[in-house]
Amino acid sequence: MPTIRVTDLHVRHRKTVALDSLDVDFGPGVHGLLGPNGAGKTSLIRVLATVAEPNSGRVEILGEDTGEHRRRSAVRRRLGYLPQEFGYYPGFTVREFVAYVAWLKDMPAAETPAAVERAVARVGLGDRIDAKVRTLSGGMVRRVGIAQAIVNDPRVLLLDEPTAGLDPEQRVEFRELLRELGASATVIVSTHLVEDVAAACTEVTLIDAGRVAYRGTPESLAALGETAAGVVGDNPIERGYTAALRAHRGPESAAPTAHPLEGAAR
Amino acid sequence: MTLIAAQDHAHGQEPGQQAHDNAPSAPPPRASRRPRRASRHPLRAEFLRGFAPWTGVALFLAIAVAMAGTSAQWQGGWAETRGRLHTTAVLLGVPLALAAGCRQGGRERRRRTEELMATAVRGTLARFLAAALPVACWAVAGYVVAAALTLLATALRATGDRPDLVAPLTDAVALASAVLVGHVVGRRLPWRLTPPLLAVAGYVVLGFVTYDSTGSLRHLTPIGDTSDIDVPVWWQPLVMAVWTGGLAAAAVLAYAARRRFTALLPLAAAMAAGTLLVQTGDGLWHTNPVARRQVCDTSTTPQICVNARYEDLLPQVTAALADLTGRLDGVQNLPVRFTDLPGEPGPDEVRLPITTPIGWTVVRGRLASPRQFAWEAGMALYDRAECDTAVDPSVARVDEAVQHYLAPNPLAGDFDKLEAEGSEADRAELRDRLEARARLREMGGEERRAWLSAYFATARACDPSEVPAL
Amino acid sequence: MTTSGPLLYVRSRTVPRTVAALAATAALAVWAAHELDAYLDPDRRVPVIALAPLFAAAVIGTSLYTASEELDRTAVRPWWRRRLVHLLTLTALAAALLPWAVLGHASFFGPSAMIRNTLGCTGLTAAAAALLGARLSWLPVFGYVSAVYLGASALRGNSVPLWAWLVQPAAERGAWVVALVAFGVGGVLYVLRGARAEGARD
Repeated sequence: MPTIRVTDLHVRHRKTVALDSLDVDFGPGVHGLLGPNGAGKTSLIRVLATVAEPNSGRVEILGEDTGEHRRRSAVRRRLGYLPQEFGYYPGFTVREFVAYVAWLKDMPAAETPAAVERAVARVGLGDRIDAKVRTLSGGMVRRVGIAQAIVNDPRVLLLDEPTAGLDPEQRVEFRELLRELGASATVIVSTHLVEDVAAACTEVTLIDAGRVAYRGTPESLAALGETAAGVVGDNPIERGYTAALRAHRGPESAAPTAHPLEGAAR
Repeated sequence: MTLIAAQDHAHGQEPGQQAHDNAPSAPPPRASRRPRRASRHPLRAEFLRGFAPWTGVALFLAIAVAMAGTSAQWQGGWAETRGRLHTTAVLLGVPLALAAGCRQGGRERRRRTEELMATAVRGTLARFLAAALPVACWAVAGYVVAAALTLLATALRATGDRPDLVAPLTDAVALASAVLVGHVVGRRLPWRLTPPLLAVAGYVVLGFVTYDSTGSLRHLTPIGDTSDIDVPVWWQPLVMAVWTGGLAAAAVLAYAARRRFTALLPLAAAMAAGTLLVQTGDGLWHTNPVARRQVCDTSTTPQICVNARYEDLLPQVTAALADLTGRLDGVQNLPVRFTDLPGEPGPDEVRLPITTPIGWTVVRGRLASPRQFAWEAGMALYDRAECDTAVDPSVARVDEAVQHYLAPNPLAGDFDKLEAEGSEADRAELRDRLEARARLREMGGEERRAWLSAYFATARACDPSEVPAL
Repeated sequence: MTTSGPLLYVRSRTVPRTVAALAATAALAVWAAHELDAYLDPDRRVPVIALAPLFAAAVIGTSLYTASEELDRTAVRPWWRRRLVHLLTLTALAAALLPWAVLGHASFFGPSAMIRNTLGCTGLTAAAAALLGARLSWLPVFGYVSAVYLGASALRGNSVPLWAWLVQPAAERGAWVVALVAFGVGGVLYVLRGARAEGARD
């Protein structure tokens, strides 16, 4: 039973097409969203987060049509979102900032303090909870961003490049957290780091030029890389990524060096 | 992956790498003994962090410094205090409040939290108020503290009348409104230059409307009229608050409300209030009933009256004039009293040397120079200003001698010395003058009273032959 | 679009917009002086003489902002020259434009008083930019100028103290000294230190 159902979605930014009649659905679990820069990953996440309005198409989240204004706040209550560019108020402490977001999400006041502490502890900032955000390092700020996204125990969690700025150790812990969250919620993680996808995701969606280029499990993507010939990549899943992109783009871009693989190269 | 996992362990031992100890599935630390700060309201941070408290500090400092710098001109007089505080709060505070609100309004863009805000369940209006109201509250708080200190300063040196506590409330509404309007502008135009631009624009608009003190639009600015003897009608502060608050509420609702047409309601209220203010015009103000009364000391000749706004000055004034009235004891043909009311004095009265505006004669509830005051009071007892021709030197000499006898000019010694070092004509003039003074001084008590009575009978005469000679 | 260094620097500090804002300030000042019938009585020019330089200084102050503070510090070229030219050029522009609003009456509130106030206000703003950051650099100057403007009207006749240099006639020598010192100190402070980094506040 999918929790997110996207039908014929079109998103345009001025003259460029970001998403081109996209049909996709997501169920509980951790979904990796891969694709080159400018493929439309962020556009999709922003539409799912109800931040951006699609030009046309239908988005249903948890059974509610987000095109309807009234249904939107019901969706937002059960939604967590970490924007690609995470802004914060540096003068707030971690606790204050996460509590503020909880207030924005209209959580019951009685539950908020405990929920805030739980969320902050889950991202491993329990000992810095009363530190001002401005005193934190870049990776810690990113974890504050994750904490605010999960403070309301969301059923749908949208994370746009959550691992940017995290050190290897933190990323390992973060993958652990993702797996835990994916047990009950629908988690969509946009990323350039294929090893995150391999380690933490149950499903992979590859987007290219506003369309779905590939869907499957990390294992099937890796298998695709093993069977395809003449593709670049340091590990099976990177090769699978390249092969899936090439297969999607078809014969016109078949030349091996025609397109630099920005996404995978990162 | 194994490599990373191995590093994991190695790092986990290092101090400061707490992250690993709080592994995602671990129970939250210190959950059992939650500190009190955990249960604080989420919006508390908006009040205490960031820019909002600084707004209060800035407003307090600006108003307090401006008031302190001019304290001689208002301390001790309630009407003066009201007027000065009001002008300062509006001319200085409103542009600052606009700028502060505007800066706070640009925060979401500056801090790049717009994206996060867009997913909030709370409506735009709730989020707007959560961000804007703390600044407004702090601005009002800064003003209120400054105003309280100002009122206290005057209370310590008050000489009569009573404080007006409603006017500061109108100012507080105006300041809060300015913050909200500034916030709307800041949200709409989140640029670096917007706050100073808005502040200067506010300054220019307020400055211009008050500069043209005859136009009827001036009744719309929160500055209004600041004449010291006028007070507003009782409903003026209320209507003014509706006017400024209504405009701000309309701007906020038009920007943030889900149903924008609700902005029409406060807008209509503001328009009605504005129309009422402009239509009523000068009728908004009337002379303070207290200012039309005076309190008198009837034991002296002439009697001494002080405007009721400064009734507590009467003992000081009486003391300053004690020598003068003592020397006039038993003299006939004097005015009945020194009077201190708006308008022309009556036929038997002369005006008390002016005590207003305070800061010159009266400073902080005290007569700055009693001798100067007494001299000016003596000068008021004769008046040849209406004469067609210049006053005859002999009459001028007599007038001067009387003045010198009653209450000498504090600078008389200096003038005499200057003339003693001057030309031959100056020295002759000085000699004549000193002789006149000496003749008056050497008269017997009865003789002098008779002479003075004759003199004051001609205090307004222009013909030199009428004035008794010395 | 060009890739010449100086031009790119100019665009990085939004100088074109600043110049436009300065021109608009001057136009506004001319209009205001006319509306106040300032040609009748030089004293009526005091609002223009005090507020126009304040506005120009605020505009110049915000143009000192840099979006790439960290990066700037690693530059090979010495920044002080660029900052000096930047500050001097904009101040000179403001000082050249604003006096048109108040021609005549040179020894009271005429062009030279306008230039003096422009220099003084810009100096204070530059100092504030170095100490507070460019975004808020207008705030202390704004508070100071309005306090002086309000306070000085209540001051007695000729004994206007030195801190009220803004509202003194141009012939007053002390006022010139204060303004020049403010410009010198503020300018040197900014040229040496640059605008304060203001990444993480409020």
